[in-house]
Amino acid sequence: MNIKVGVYSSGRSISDLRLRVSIHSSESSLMEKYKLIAKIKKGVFQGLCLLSSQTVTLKQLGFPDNEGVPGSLIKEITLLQAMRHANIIKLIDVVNHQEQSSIVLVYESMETNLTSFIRIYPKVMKIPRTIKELLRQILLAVSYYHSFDIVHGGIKPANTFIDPATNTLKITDFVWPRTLFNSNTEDPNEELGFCYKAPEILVEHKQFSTAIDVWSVGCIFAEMVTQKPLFSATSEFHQLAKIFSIVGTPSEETWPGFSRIYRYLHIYSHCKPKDLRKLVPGLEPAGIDLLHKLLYMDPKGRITARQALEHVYFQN
Amino acid sequence: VSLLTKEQEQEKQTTCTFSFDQTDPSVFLARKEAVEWILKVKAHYGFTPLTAILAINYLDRFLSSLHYQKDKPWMIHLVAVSCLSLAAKVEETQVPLLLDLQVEDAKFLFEAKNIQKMELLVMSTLKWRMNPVTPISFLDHIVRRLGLNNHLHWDFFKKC
Repeated sequence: MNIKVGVYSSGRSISDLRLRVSIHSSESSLMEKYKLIAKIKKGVFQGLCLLSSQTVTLKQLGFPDNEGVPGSLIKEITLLQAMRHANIIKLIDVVNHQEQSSIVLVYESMETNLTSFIRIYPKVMKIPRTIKELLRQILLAVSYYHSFDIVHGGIKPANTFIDPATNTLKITDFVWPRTLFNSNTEDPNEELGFCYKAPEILVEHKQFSTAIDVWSVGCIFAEMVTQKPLFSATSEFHQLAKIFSIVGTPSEETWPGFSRIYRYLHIYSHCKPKDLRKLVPGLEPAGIDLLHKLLYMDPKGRITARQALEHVYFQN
Repeated sequence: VSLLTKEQEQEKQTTCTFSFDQTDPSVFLARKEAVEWILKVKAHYGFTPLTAILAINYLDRFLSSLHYQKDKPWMIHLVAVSCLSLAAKVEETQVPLLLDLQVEDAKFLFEAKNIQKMELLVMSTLKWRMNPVTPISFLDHIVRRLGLNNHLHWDFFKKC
């Protein structure tokens, strides 16, 4: 570690010393502890822990070096380390990357995400009990971090991992989608994340409430049943129109005050809500009712993850 | 109960606890100076008591690790600045710039990027556990459990 120190005495700078600090650190460098195996996407790597020979996911987070480590990041990592839940991917380690001002988060690794799970095991996903069990696990994870007032902000099938042997589901990517430091890391070839975004986020209203995650869970719920995204628009721009065409264009009754939040509402043609029973065939009536509540347009009226877990759909 | 378990876990992790009798008097003195400086800055900016407690907690935990080098007198100052900056970021809503933080007769003036390096070193040494159980956590818990949450009680609590 090289440290440049300005020594000040009686207010005047005497000298600028360049000192080499040899810190006998127990802090081993990234490469001593982990071996990189493959690049998954920009800033995300698959690695191998050399101590436990466990496969891990490494995520690099960079930040500007003018005001030290950002406070939001410190708080978030402290919190993530304290979080322990069977349905949340565990943060195993945090390693400093000395050369670049960045840190590397080390997560436990799981191979199959929900997108590929649906593709590989379409028959398993047809069993209503499987869907119910997976949805319950998603909601358990979501209500757990909502109890810490954490908003995930990027729940989508690609961030939802499943162990095919036990059908255990784990959600990942807490720090990733929200930190400002990596705003352009969205890989265009990757699954279209905007399909799972809540309408209030799409109108860009900086409404960052826990309700946005509930919407995403609703989208995933429908997708698990039909095995394709419910709101699959061609671009983020068209996403809102797509949502309106299915759930109905908001009116003063369905979403009080929406016309004030969103000035361009008049551009959209008026759509009536479609029948979800036809769009999501095969789902039992209690499931349709829950889906309605998860995909409620007005975030204030949307069900919470905790309430959803108590829904009739799960009562058998 | 969960606070107690958390505290016990915490103690286990701090392998060599910072005991003043066995420590080199020069470290003891340096630590004393650093703590005094932290308290002065706390008063200067009107930080909450928890910020100061956290900063001193980080400082002690860091010093009790083997990183501290006696022959670099400026080093403990850099550690103190970094600990206070970390604590302020965790606890305060308004955090002064790193350069502005170095007030109250700071003997040295450190550049932001060096403070950042030390921040990272402190955090990795403390295993990124920046939210320890402090005496205030117990007080907070007790006050809540006893339902002593009127204005007067909170006022008293803030002064602790």
